[in-house]
Amino acid sequence: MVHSSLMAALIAVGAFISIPIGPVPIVMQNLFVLLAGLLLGGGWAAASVGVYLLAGACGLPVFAGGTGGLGRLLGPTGGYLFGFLAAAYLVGKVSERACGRPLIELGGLVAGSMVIYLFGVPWLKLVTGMDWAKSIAVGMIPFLIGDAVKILAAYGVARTLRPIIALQATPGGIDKAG
Amino acid sequence: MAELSIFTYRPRPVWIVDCDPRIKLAALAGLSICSLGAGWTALALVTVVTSILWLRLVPSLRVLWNQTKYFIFLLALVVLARGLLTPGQVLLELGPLDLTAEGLAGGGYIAWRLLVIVWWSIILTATTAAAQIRSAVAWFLRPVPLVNEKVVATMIGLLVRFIPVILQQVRETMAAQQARAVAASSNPFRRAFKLILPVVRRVFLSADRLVWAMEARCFTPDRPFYHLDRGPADWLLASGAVVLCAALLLS
Repeated sequence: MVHSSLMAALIAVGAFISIPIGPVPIVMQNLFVLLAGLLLGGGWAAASVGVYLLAGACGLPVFAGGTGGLGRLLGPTGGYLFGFLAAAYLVGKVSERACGRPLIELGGLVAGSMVIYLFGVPWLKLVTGMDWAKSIAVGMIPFLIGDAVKILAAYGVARTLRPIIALQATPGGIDKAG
Repeated sequence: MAELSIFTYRPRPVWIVDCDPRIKLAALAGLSICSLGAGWTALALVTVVTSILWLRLVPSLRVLWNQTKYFIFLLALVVLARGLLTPGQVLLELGPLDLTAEGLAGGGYIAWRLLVIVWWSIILTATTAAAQIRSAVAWFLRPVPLVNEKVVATMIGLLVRFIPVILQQVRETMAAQQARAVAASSNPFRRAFKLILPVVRRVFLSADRLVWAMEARCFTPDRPFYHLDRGPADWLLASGAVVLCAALLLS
């Protein structure tokens, strides 16, 4: 529960961390969503994103720009937020069954990123009234390069952190890990 | 986010601060949903009511602008996209694209509606303590099957508590990396990896210590919730929300 809550806090903080690359800066929010799936597994990762969305829906300022409320969930970017939930669950489930095999885990990460767009782009089209081509051009194409970087970074971070988390799970492990 | 802002709850001499958080959450949800199909007139009425409430809560509208300018920028992009992509009476030619009156009107309506919803959510956080929201969320989740409302409410409490702590850790990590010229790397993967790894590592290492601290302070999901009580101000708020919802639906 604590890991899941902390991951939810990281997802909220991810909206405030960006690395400027080209015209579209990389925001770390969906990297943490993918990372939640890799580190927590499907159930707790979905719980983590679910709590994050619930806190935002209740009006707590956890969404990008320090805002919150149903307005953000029902706004132009609301589909991406709901996509986070499905993506975290999918990546977590794939990761649980991958048993550390890199190609399957990377495939799960790619599928998870696509699931975010599967929710986000139709929602963007619906709310803004743009056609499909424009919605994809505005809401998906500019972020694909950043997504590739995030997938690789999430995989690398997860591989490095798993031994530490496993060590924490053993008695007295926190002292060795820290 | 760790800084004091209009999003942060502070006791204010305004009646809505004392209202039951369950009524506030229900009013926010109802108004958000009803506003989706609202007409211009009802939206104008709701905007006036919301602005009056705002003027009681913040010293000036400039404070509100400073806190919501990033979201307003996003809305401006929505208006511009609609203006450029909707066919109609051409107001301005911008290369291959035309800015149309119909597009601007449609985009302006969407942006206005979203801005009002976000204002309501800021009013909620500015007038409701996190402990009150936690109790209200647990109350609403109680009838939902397969969801342990106490665990969810505790997770929300931890989330709110740890956002400023993690932000501080991120700032410290970024400052340390700038001092060591890690941020100057042109490889985006390396920059992302080098920033995220120490932050997430610190967060996970602190998790076990957090569990010990929680247990030592009896901070468990079963600890008592904030006492929720309804009074005359709640009925006033509920009635006002119902009237506004009806106006939004009928417009």
